[in-house]
Amino acid sequence: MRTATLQKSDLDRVIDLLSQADYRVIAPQNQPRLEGPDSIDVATFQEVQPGDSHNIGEGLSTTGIKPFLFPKDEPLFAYENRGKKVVLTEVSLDFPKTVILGVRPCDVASVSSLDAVFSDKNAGFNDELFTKRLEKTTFVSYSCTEPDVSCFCTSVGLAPDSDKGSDLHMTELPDGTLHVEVKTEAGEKIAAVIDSLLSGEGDAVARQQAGVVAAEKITRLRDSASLLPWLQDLNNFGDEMWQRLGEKCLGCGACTFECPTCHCFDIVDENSGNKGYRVKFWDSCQFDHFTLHASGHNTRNSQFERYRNRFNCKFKIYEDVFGEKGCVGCGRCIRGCPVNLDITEYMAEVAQKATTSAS
Amino acid sequence: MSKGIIRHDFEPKIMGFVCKWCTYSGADLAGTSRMDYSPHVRMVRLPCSGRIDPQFVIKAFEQGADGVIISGCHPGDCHYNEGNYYARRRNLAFRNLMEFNGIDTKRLEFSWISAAEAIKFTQIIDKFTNQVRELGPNEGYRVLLDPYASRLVKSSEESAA
Amino acid sequence: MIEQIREKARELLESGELDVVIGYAEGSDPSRTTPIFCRKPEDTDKLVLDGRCVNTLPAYLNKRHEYPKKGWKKTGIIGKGCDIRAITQLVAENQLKRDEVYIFGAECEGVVAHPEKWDGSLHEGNCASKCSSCDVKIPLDTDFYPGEKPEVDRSGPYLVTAPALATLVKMDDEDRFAFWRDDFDRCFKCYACREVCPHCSCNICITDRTMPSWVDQAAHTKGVFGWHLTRAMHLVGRCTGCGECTRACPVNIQVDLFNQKMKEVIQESFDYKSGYSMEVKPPLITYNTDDTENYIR
Repeated sequence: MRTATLQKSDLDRVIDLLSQADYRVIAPQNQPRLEGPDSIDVATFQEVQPGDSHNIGEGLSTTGIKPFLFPKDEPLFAYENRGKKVVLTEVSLDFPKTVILGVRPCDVASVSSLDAVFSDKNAGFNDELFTKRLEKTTFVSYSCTEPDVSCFCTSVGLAPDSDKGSDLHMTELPDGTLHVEVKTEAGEKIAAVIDSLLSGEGDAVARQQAGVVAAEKITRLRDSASLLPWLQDLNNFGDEMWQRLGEKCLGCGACTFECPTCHCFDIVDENSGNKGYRVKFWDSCQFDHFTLHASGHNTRNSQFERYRNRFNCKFKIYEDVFGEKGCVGCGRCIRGCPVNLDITEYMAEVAQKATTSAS
Repeated sequence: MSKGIIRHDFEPKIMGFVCKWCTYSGADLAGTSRMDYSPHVRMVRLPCSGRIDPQFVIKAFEQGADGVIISGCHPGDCHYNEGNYYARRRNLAFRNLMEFNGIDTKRLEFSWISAAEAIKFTQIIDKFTNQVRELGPNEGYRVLLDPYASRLVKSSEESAA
Repeated sequence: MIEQIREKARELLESGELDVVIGYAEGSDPSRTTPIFCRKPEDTDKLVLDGRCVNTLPAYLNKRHEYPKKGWKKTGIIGKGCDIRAITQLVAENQLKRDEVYIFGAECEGVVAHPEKWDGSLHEGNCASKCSSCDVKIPLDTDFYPGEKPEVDRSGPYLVTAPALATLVKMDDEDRFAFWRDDFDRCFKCYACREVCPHCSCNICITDRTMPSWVDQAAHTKGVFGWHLTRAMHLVGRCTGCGECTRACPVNIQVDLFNQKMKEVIQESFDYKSGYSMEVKPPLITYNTDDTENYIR
């Protein structure tokens, strides 16, 4: 499919043209900072209008694109008691045509993990709140040139220039231009809208090279091939490693909410008199009441058990059920953890144990 | 003698959290003496002003109250000896917290009203109601009241009903 | 200094006087440290103490995180001045017994405001704002302090350190409400602020209780406001100003502005600074018959 060159300085024009073509444009933006040393730069994906600032291609956003497919809170329906009747009002499934710019390879690869859960591809329930949003969303991804010390996408089968899941992929080249590759039909439509800004055929060689250079900067390398067999051996479920590494976990949930593939949610009815909403919102397996039964029994009563579950969910359960890893190596859980719990430390321990038990 | 009824464009919803030994009895006395006062206040009777949890007030604002009044026995007269002393401290902190959050403290009223002070009760209620009426609806929270109105579609039952 | 602490910790673990020593060790990258639970004497070699040690370790001592209930005889804990203040406050509130902990203290020059800002050393550009008015650089109450512990005058009032507070207070009510509404838009209720707090110790937090549901659990603005106001109110007179809530927030919302404002109110109204005495009770659980009531009709 088509390849071309785009000037990095034309990204603002890209937003203009897409807006004019009736797309809702989403891009990463820095949040306003308060004065003082305690505030840091936080980038999140937001809806942008022509003329708004953005930081496409700079750093990694804190929350990724998950909120646009699976919002942090969302109504399922509204209800009202009217005498003997209960009247339900549906929510609209008519979502706007959306394009998300500047999605990093790890984030765009995570969409297939979410799709595995929320669509009916795996004989599950087809969650239209997700699938209808996904149908209307086009992903314009952007390769990484400066992975940081917490990134480990290469250890889970991805790369800083991976285009898995992308509709239109951009790679920043050393000369400041972007090599653009159309990957899908949806990407073709975007290319057509921004056609006036595209030129030539791009530089495939430089693009390959940029990917190699970026991958070499990743220092956090872990062997993930040993994970699945070790985890599938249920004798290892009671290994001492789980408690030793997971003891310091405070059970906050920051990792699960920043994670692009984590998808657990809770549903409550929010009442106001005789009417209300049934609301679906993000939940975390790290919360202490996540597995609390109505009887009062809690199957995962301590924190290290909960983190063991998280690790297993990403590296075993996903493989068993969906045939792919549930982790994209973005490193947000490492950066965001208040006590610096490191998922790759678990990976390293397992690799070590797997080799010692094999030898 | 009843006052003339004046209709306004906006009639505030006021929540009153009162202690049963003093303020509620004072309100009762106002009623049995056939005194007129603004009918906007909805009273919640609690055993003591010390029982009033800031959660009640936050919830009241969340559910659409435009003003909240908290009232109890005079210091020294608490039926449980010390409840209102704790309430006094707690409400001092809470008032500052609400102000820091951006909720106008003119929407939050605290008073000591004894069981004999029916007149004071009617005066405070009237004054507070007028105050809140002038401030207008609690727009900040009103908008949050129904977070998902824009996401709904008309249901077929609703159009048939 | 850390060598002396390591030595003493090793000695006490070997003699069995302490079950565990909670301290800091090297983290996943050079800018971070992570909590470590030393149970074997050799583990103490991994202990570090420098400007990267941002965690408030007493968060592990409150009832919410199970640790004191596991039948440990005595827990050793390494504390900076602000951490030891948190321990003192926990003792004052009967959440902890003083003889259940053995405190290793050391002089603290400050900590980095956020691990992202660490560039090899601690300096004015990256030091946390709480350190600028700190009067516990020499900690208050320790069981082990390397060297002589000098006397420090800690009678000064609590001083607000966040520069943003002054700006917020000058705003109009409506503007301030709009500011919080926009700032809280990115909160997704992860509760990192709750879990790192040494004083958030309820076994079941009020926001997790659903029958009845006082605080909305969903992350819409109503729910987010409800949570932060509740947390601020429940910490009035108890917050010891470690600033971990802001540091731990994944989206860097300065949640401790509420707590700092309330500490200022408590200082003015009741002349109380939390964390400096194990005997004086926090102000909201005591009263004075002649308290101020200038806001009451």
